[in-house]
Amino acid sequence: MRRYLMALVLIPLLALTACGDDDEEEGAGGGTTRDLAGTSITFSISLAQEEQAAIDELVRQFESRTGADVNVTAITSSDLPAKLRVDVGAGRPTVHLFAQDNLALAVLVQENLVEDLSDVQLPSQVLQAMTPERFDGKQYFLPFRPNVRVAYVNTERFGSANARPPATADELRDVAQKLRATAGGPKVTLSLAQGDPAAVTISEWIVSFGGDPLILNDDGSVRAFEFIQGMWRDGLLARESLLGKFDTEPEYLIGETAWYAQNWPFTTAQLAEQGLLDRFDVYEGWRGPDRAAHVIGGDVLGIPRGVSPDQRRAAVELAQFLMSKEAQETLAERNAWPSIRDDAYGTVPPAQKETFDAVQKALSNGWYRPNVIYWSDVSEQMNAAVRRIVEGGENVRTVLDELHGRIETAARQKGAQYPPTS
Amino acid sequence: MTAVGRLVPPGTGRRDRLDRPLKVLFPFWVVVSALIVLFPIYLVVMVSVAPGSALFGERPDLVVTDPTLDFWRQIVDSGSLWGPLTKSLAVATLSTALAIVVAAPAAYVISRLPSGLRYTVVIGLLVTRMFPEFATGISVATRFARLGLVDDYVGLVLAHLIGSLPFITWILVGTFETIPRELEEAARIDGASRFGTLLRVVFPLAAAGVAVAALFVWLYSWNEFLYARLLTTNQNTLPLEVFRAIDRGSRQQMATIAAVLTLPILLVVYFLQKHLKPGALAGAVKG
Repeated sequence: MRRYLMALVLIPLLALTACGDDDEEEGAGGGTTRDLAGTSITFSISLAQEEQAAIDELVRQFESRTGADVNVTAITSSDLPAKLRVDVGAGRPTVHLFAQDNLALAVLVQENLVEDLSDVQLPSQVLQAMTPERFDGKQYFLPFRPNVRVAYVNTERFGSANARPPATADELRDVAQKLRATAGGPKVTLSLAQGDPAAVTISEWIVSFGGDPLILNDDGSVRAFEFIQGMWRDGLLARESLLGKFDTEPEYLIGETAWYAQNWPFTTAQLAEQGLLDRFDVYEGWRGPDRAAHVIGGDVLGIPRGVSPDQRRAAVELAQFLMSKEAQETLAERNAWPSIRDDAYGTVPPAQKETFDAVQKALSNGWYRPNVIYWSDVSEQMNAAVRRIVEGGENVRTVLDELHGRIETAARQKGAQYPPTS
Repeated sequence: MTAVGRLVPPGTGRRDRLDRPLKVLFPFWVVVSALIVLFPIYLVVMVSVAPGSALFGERPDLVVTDPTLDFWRQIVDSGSLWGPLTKSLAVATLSTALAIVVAAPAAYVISRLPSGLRYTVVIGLLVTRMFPEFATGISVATRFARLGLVDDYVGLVLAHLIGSLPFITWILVGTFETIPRELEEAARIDGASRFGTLLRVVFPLAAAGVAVAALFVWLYSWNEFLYARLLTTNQNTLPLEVFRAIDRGSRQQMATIAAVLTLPILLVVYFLQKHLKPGALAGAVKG
């Protein structure tokens, strides 16, 4: 009888303890207290129109649980540094939490525009690889939304061309030849649109061939460009590649301009919306001679310097809520966003499971673009290389040597160490 | 040689020979120029009503055969553009009114200064426009932010005046210079006060120049991006919405918002066009 009574007491106690641990880890945002009542904050996040509803819903949940008043606004990644310079310089931050492109962080730290968030505990389920870069040992940013490109295969067309999804760069070339022979024209696109799309694609190629995009004229870079140039010269890449980017690639796949393309996972939601997802296989993509390389894009969270203590607390709680399993599940399910956590894919529709499996595999071979102050110069030179080497057919080594020199000059002018230490 | 022949100035025959082809070519030249100017506007409107499939593929069509109003409907239904539209309209209109009220009297006074001094003042006005706006924008916006002028119409109106005042003062100095002082003196002799002369004689004659200046300020303010970005957190202006669509939206969303940005400009130009006729001052000093 005593054992029975003890069990009666212990079991609920253990259950409560377990729940308590979970709540603690998820942060106060996941709790039910309204201890932030009267605190008003502004959260800046730049979203596509179709992604807005899920964020609005999460924010309303957070408001109802904590009593905080959250205003959602959109300041684009490129505008945020200038906006924070004004706000922080005036000592009156009007943004209290922001989501920012993970490649545009160095300038915020160097100009002392963001709060040190080293005291904020990350949930233990956050994948180690998703932890944002630290600066001088300090944590200024919190993980929020990783992104990585995966490959889309038109299964019916691959079947008719007797082709299989390529696993290596050499296989990609073979597949492109088969597709071309079947279709009578190139059916593979690379995202080479001017700006970020070309920089992301070229970075992945260079790294997978063993090169370093910051150097741009090392052996790996040269081999990568020779490979792409060869494919272009042999008519294996569709000309539409030059306009290929996040919003055109889904159209290429839907309109069958491309039978094979790599793009960000929101493509899956677009294909599903058109009722075409079952015509495509989604997998992590090919690997280069050296490794598989997938640029990790996406946004991290930060808090501008100078927010009041109450607003900082509310901003941290909102950030913790956005990192919670509940919020990450909603974002994966509704927006098809990859998660920072390994336990957030439980509610994604079955048809999208394949995509998230591919995303997980791609993330395991993820590559963070280095947060150097001269990255915009590197990106510019990679774009120049695409125009001159791929489109213009110029000599690879000659062009890359010249562009390397430009990167070196820009880095030195900006006071950065060059060549970079690995 | 006949009397008529002697009256014809030398070179007239050659001009006659050139006149005919010019008369034939001129309409073509006008049409081609108009097409070049209108083509980007056509593209924006065309893309805003194009289904996705029409824009991609081997050769995107320049004519949409199956137009859709989906993107316009989305924008109207979401109501997300009413706030930016209202803000842009209010700020542009207030900036214009304030700029004319400040710049017109200033320009009149400058136009009546001795020529050496007038030249110095006009050059001084233009010097302020020689620095890139971005170089000064952050400092100015920081001071405005300290005064609590973020997300405030007054802040944005004042910021837009920084850019537009020197330019329209310069435009208006040129306008007032063309109005003869004799007209003012005649009005004074007829018993008009100095203020009455300005109000009833000078400013009506300067209406065409004022209209051009007003249009310039309105368009500048309507399209202005830098200060709008730095002094806005919550309520975007339309150019900020266009940029947001470029950053995260589809081509059709971007084109639809850009078309919304263009429509009020057409209305403003339409209503101001009667003041924009060339030669508005012609005949003012006929005896």
